[in-house]
Amino acid sequence: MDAVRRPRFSPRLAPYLFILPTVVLFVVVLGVPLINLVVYAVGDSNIYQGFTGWNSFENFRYLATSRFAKTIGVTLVWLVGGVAGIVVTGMIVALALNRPIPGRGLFRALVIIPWVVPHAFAAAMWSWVIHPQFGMLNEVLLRLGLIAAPISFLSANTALATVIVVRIWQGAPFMIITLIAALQTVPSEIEEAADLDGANAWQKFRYVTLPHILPVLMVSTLIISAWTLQIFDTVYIMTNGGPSRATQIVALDIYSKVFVESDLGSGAAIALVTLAVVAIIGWWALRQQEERAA
Amino acid sequence: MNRITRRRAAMLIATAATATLVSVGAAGAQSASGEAGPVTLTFMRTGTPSILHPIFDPIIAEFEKQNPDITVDMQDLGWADAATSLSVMAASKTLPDVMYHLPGTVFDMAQKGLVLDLTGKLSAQLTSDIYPALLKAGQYDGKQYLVPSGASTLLLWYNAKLFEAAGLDPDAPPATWDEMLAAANKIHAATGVPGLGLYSKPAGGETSFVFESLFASQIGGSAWDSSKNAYVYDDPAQADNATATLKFMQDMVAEAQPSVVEYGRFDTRTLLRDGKVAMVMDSVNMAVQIKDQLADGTMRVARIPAGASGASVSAINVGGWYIPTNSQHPEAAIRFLEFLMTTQNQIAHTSYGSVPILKSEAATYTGDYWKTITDSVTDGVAEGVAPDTPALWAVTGEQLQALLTGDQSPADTLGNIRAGHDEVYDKR
Repeated sequence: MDAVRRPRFSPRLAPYLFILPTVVLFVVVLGVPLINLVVYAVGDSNIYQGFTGWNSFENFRYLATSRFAKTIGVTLVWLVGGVAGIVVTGMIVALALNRPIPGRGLFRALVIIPWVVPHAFAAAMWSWVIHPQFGMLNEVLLRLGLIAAPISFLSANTALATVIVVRIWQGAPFMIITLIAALQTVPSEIEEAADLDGANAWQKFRYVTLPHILPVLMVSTLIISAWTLQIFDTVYIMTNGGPSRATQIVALDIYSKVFVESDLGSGAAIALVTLAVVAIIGWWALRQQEERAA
Repeated sequence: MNRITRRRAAMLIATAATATLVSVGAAGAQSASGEAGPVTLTFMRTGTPSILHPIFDPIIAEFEKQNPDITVDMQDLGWADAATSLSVMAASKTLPDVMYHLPGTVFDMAQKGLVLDLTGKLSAQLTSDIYPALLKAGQYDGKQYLVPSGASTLLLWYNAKLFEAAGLDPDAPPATWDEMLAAANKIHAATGVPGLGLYSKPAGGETSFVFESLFASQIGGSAWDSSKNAYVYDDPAQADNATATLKFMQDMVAEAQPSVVEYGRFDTRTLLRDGKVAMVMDSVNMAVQIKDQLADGTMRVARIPAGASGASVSAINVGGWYIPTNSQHPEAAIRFLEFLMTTQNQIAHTSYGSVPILKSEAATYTGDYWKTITDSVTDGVAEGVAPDTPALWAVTGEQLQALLTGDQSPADTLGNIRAGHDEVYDKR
């Protein structure tokens, strides 16, 4: 009988060896770009030559300007408005589609459509739909006599609200899908018990449904928030950040700095600070959820 | 022993590979400097490939016929991808041997040592044939980095039928700012069609170009001080002229279609074509959109109206050929560039949408249409361009949007433009 060969490494090392490929992949895919980002942010950097020399945090000066303050304000409205809209819309539609209504399968399939339309195409499509001269929406409203003159959906006062609505249209399907899946895990006997106890619809939702779907809702909201913050193409195509920076969100500011003004350093500085803020918020939200679960 | 033999073999292979690479590199270098042996030039004209290939394929074929040792490989790049693709190519030193692009980007790359200085390398025949204002538009810090091969001036395009319907003489288009506002007002009153088509959706170069041209007409000269690389209107001494120009732009809004900030240049071209506005100030590219109506006389073109100076002076923006320093075959590249700029080849290129670049080219065009366009070039001034121009345009464009939406007075707009420009100048 052959002797059993002893492993060359300690069993305690085994878990680390198993996760090593993932760690290497993370270092290559995330670590290298992150290091580059830090290097570009702290130095004199341009898109043609990369880092060309240390510049004493000069790139971070832009973060203290009124222009960037306006960008932050616009981004917060975009983020809060977009995410809240997606959550509320997603919840309402998911609750409706969780009921045994005729054609439910068809409706569930239809609501996914905005999610699978590429953002760039959707932005171009919406730009045409709402255009004051050539747009279908104004034409329909005019013919119905609901308005006397075309509405300017992308004026300085309305552009941000308009792009938020388009963002809700794009993002709601993801929330609907995840919430429908979560709603199906709510035990029917508890709902029936609530009915027997005389709970109304709101009470059933507040005290039975919501606690059950809360973990899914939290994670989905976190994912939607991250995606909303990353959105670039929709706003770029619809408004290019205008009029007068009324829709200049952080992603557009980074693009503008790097590719329009050829200022890679300032673009990297904005990206680095945004990354740090998002990471802290994400970590805090996940920790809250873990504590609640515990 | 076996391991040592393997290592030796590996070293031998590595040495042989290195030697091969070095010899290939040396051979390439020889081709580059001495042009001995076959050379392949890479060539890129930013734009729409389906339109550009029919223009350049015959030119390339003729060049290759005349230069059997040189092959030209035309590569495609759309404007939408240009900024990011260019930065990747520049960073990896793979820019094509001859490329068409805009001066702001080219000067930015030139400042970083990525573009060949063509001063003294071009034939006197070519440089004397290019209109002086255009040649100047390809220079930065006194060096010729770009050879202009496409250019635009600002022109007044108008609908003759709407002029007649309002009792205006289409043979006498407005020649001053006041006349233009009055004509627009009269057309609107008589026909219900807005007198002007105005655009300010893109916050950047397009609206800055309109402002720069109108300011040039206001002062009768260039809006750019090339000795300081700064806009003339940033000088406090020019405050009155700059404010008057901005006031005129604001007055135009009252005569234009509603929601001007939702319209880009392509939108207003459609409006003019469809008879939904009577006049639009735009570049020569408008001609493609209203080709048939220009031919039947429904649409016409005139010089932009004059400001206080009494002269119609447009800024001229250019695009052109440049040769990157990473080119392995600069001499062959210059030879090809010169070939692209021959009169017949430039005529073919101009058909893509440009004012005449060469005097010899302009001599072949006849009729009032071409006279108007050529005059706008001869009386025009080079648009101000420096490596940081995109940053300056971003400031101007945003402030002009605020002006045109009525959110800001001309004086405040000028103040904000200056403050924003000062921040850009301070970074130099």
